[in-house]
Amino acid sequence: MGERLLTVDGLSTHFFTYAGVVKAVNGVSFTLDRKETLGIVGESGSGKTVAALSLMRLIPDPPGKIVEGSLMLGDRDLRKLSDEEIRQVRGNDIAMIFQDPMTSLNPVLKIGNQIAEAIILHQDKGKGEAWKMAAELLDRVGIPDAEKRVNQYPFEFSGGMRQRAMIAMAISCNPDILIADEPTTALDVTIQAQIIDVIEEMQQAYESGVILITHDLGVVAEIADKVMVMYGGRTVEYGGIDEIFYNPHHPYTWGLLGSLPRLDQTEKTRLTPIKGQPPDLIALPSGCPFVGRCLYERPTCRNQWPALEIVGPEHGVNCWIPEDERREVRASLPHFQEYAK
Amino acid sequence: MITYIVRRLFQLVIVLIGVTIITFLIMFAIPGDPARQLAGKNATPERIAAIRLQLGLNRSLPVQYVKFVGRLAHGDLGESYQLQKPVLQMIWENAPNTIQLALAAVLIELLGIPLGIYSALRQYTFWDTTLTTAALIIWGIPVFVLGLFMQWFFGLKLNLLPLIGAGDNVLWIIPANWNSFASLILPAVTLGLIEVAYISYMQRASMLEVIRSDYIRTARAKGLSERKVVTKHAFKNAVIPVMTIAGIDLGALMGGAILTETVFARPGIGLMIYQAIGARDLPVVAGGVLFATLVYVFANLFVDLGYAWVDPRIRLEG
Repeated sequence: MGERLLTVDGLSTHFFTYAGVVKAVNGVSFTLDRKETLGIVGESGSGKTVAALSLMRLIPDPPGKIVEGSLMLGDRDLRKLSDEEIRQVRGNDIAMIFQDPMTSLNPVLKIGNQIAEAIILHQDKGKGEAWKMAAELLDRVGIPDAEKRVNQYPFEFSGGMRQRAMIAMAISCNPDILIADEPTTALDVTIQAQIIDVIEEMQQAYESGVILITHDLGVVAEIADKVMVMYGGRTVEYGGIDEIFYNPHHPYTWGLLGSLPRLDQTEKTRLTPIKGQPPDLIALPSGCPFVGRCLYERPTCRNQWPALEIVGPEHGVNCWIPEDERREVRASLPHFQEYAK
Repeated sequence: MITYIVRRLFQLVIVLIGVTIITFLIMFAIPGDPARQLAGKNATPERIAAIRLQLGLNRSLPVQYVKFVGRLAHGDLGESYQLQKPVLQMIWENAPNTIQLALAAVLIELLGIPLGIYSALRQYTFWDTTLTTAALIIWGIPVFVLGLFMQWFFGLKLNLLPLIGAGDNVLWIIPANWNSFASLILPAVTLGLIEVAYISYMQRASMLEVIRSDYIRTARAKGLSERKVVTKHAFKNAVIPVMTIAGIDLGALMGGAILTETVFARPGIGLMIYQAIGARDLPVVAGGVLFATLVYVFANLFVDLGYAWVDPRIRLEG
């Protein structure tokens, strides 16, 4: 892989509310290289988005605060940058595509204006040139009639087109890192595939590192090089794409994979959910947040967070179940039986 | 855009017909007889009957209404029973003071927009709490109570400003001299202050909602400065709902003008209507209400046009 773009070590982001401290992200570490795609998966409230927003220091403060960890963009520590310096990073070095294109564009400003303003801000271009570049970008992300479209308002765009415009906005300053926060969740399935294709194309063209936040394992399987599985604000397992799909070690990862619909199932087979509710982030157990839902938990799980255990090349897991026992349990799970053969 | 304005003007005609009917019905429903009132306490029944005949009050209500509308179509609002002056002339004489008062109040009202935005951007700080609390208290004070307080404090206690009345105007609505301007200050502040409170409170709520929206996060993620985020991305969106409220609020302003003019004994449409109601002077009441309605509907039209100017969704989908 290419040059190292980002090194996150022990990131913790908490929200200090009247109800208590919401520990949204707890000691998360990961890295991202040029041209690499990192998938962050986990259910709602697992801390994926907060982790990504922390990278851009976009956590609303108050009540949110990055309480621990280092965020190194190359050799710059993002936590130590001044407000002015972090604004230079936003949109220029790290850009973000948000979940809901219907609400993420300003309704009263023209699309061209919203794309051009980032170009004017970061690339020292004049207004005319920036608008011309905006039209070219729209064309690049596959919006027909881009010359005309730059002069339109968001309400004149469909959902898929708006998301394309968001992508155009994000890549406008050729960022090193592109964060896509559930970019396809709010779109229809046919549009989803197109948007993923556009993101992939742009990554190839601009040689960016991509962080793809999603709960759609299908999307991850398609474009991610490596995956980080988050639960209750912690990384429970990370590894290369093949490792996570074919050699998963954490019971939560098993549950995620097991809950996917399968082609060989008949229509009448019910999906297999992970039973229970996600944990209350204000009252997390001091140990593994998955306790209570984990089918294989033991007494130590509740009180102590397990150390990182390296189980393969670039593959780590945090779990108290001994490795040989994990392999045994996994082999007995119905959806892993075919791999075992 | 032009079809939109034409359509609105057609609606105006319907509104005016409705308003005249309602005004007529209300004036006939309330107790008291204009003829008896005009004739005086010791009038003979014959004299009252003669006045009634003279004013056309002996005819049925629909006939009177049709005659009223017929005259109205020729620009004739009739004559005041009491003063025997054409109503149109009375309106012409009284309108400048009222329009002056309302415009001054609107100018003061606009202060609510920056105040509300300031409050929202410093949510839960000392100044936000102070402004919000003050706004809620002022908003809760009836306009005549605030007016009396203003008179007592600034007029009697401090002896700074005239208590009552109004001065001469040039160019119809511009105060001709300092005295004329001074007599405008207390009524305008009284009327405007309550609206400032209302507008700033609404503006604060609207700004708070906008500043937390997804597109503001997008703007921040581009690296824009907080100043640019507020002025370019948040301001327009946050002002749109307040403009709507301000438009609807013009009705309250007209109602407030009647009370304010009464408290400050300030000649104007409000005082004219108030006195005409007491005297059962039907043509004056009808004319005054009609005028107030016209002002209200036109003001709303302008607000809606401004609204379309700010919000492309209205302008283009119209």
